[in-house]
Amino acid sequence: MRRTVQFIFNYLLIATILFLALLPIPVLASPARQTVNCVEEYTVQADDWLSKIADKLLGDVFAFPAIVLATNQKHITDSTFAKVADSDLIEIGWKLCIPGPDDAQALLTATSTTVRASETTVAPLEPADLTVFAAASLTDAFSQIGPAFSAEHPGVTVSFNFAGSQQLAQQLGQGAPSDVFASANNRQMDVAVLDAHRVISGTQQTFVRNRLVVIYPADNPAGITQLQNLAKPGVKLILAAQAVPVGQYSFDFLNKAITDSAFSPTYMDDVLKNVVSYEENVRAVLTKVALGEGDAGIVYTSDVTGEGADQLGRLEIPDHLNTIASYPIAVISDSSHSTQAQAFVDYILSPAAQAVLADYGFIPVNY
Amino acid sequence: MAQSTLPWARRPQRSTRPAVRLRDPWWLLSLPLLFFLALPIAAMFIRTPPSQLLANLAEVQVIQAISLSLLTTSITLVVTIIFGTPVAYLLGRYDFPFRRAIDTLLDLPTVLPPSVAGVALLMAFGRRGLVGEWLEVGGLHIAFTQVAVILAQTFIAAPFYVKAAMLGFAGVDRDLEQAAALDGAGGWQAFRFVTLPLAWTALLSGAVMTWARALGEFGATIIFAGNYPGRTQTMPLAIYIGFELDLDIALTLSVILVGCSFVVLLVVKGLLQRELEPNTN
Repeated sequence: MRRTVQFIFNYLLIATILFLALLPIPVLASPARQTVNCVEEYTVQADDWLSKIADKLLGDVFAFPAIVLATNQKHITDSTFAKVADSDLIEIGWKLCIPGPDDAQALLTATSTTVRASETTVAPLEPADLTVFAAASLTDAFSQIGPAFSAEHPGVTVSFNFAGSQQLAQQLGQGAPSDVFASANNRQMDVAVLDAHRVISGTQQTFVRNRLVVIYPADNPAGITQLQNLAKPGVKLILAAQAVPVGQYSFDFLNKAITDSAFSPTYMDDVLKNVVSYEENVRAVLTKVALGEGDAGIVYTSDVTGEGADQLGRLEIPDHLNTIASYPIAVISDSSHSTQAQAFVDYILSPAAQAVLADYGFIPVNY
Repeated sequence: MAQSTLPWARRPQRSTRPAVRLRDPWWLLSLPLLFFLALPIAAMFIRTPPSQLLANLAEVQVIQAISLSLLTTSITLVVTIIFGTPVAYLLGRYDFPFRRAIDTLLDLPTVLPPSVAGVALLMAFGRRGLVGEWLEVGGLHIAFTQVAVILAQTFIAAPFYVKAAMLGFAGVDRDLEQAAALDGAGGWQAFRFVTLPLAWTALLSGAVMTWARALGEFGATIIFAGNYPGRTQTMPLAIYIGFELDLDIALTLSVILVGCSFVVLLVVKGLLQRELEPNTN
């Protein structure tokens, strides 16, 4: 009897490992060594994301992989549980399995997490000048974090190259010297990993999240009061090009909207007809709408903070239509200052930097 | 040659250049720069086999970009000639207060980064701009249209024509015009039948430079006119955006741009050369 149970258990374990190995996210591919008991079943609400749920129910934002692993394990035997293929995408109504604290800990140690590295104190770093390639949307936040990092590590200075992530990924592909890459989406990070071979697969980690918002000039010349207005003929809409992460997310929003009964089936076509320009980065969209050249644009929430925000009105995109963008960061594999570069990545994940990112409208992963 | 800043505006002497021997040290000293200029262009052609070039030529985006570029640069050229010729004649023929200031104003767009021109154009003709605001009231929308593309190109490229034409007009012998006037030619007739034919080569080379510069215009266009395929996405913009999306399209357009520019410059130089030879005999 005991042997039979053991056999079935082993079989399940192997099946689980095989199943998890097929998941796209490397973090989730690590095996879990035990079955999980859910102390709570949680249904995803509007405005939820995994790290927030983890913080609420497990008291630790970093515990979200435990929820993913536990839920996916449960899904094998009980399909009422959701299957989480991508920890950045959860849908309202999904049933999640919240493991007990011990199970969560076990699951977490099984997944190799380096996120905590920032809390260990390190020996003083050798002086270096780091070159950080960062998405244009990070311009304000990183410009503030850079000097703060240098203050903590005297002699280590940081120079930034801000541009559209797709452009940065291209530059990396062409061999541009760099130490750290912070992208506005996983796709461009994947370009750096798979096409450019400048980042070792699995070393990238999400450091912040962001969401989309519709902006219009403060005096609202086109009278934008609801998302449906974007399809009104004559509205001059400025989007980012589809190669730019925020441009891709804007398309995702339109694609979701046409399946929603609150929008007409021609919504996407009507909106795209109104586009007057596809800009090459998110900041160009912001500036042109702020200048009044366009009647509306789609940018990140984090773009509508700080100076210039008072020239703009904003219209929220509800969660079920919005895309929560994940920003991955990684050390460039051929960096000549990899220790310092890792220190910068760790600093970005530290509460101090996360607080700055939160100030600029980002959704921190560590707070 | 010495007092002219724009060599193509001067009538060069008939070629008395001796053939250079291969062992001549000037050859060897010239090679590094020539090699440096030729290598990247050659690399681009090597990366783009003709079959791929032809295949990409059928892409909608490529066709749109090429036709848009040809259309806007042609209009830019016409606009430049119509409005630039009087300025060139004025500066080439007459002396007046602020002449130097106006002359410098014409140099400005050629030395400014085009992105500055783009921002400046936005401030003037944007929807909230100095003039743009009034145009908007009148129902004229400039931003994000082909008009904006043409304005950007004209702002950047027109000075090339004006400066060349100015030197061309300045080089026409005054006595010839006066002789025509003595023979009863009116001001317009003297200009049309004496000055213009004599300055023709300078005007042509200036026009070609303006066209070529307009064809390559990027910075002012993307800032002022935006980027919309088929409407404001000229070849340089399509190359820039294509570089991030689809390198093949970028390469195809680059090869076409280089090819066009090279052939046009070569033909014009040939024409000028032929034009000049009888004059100097």
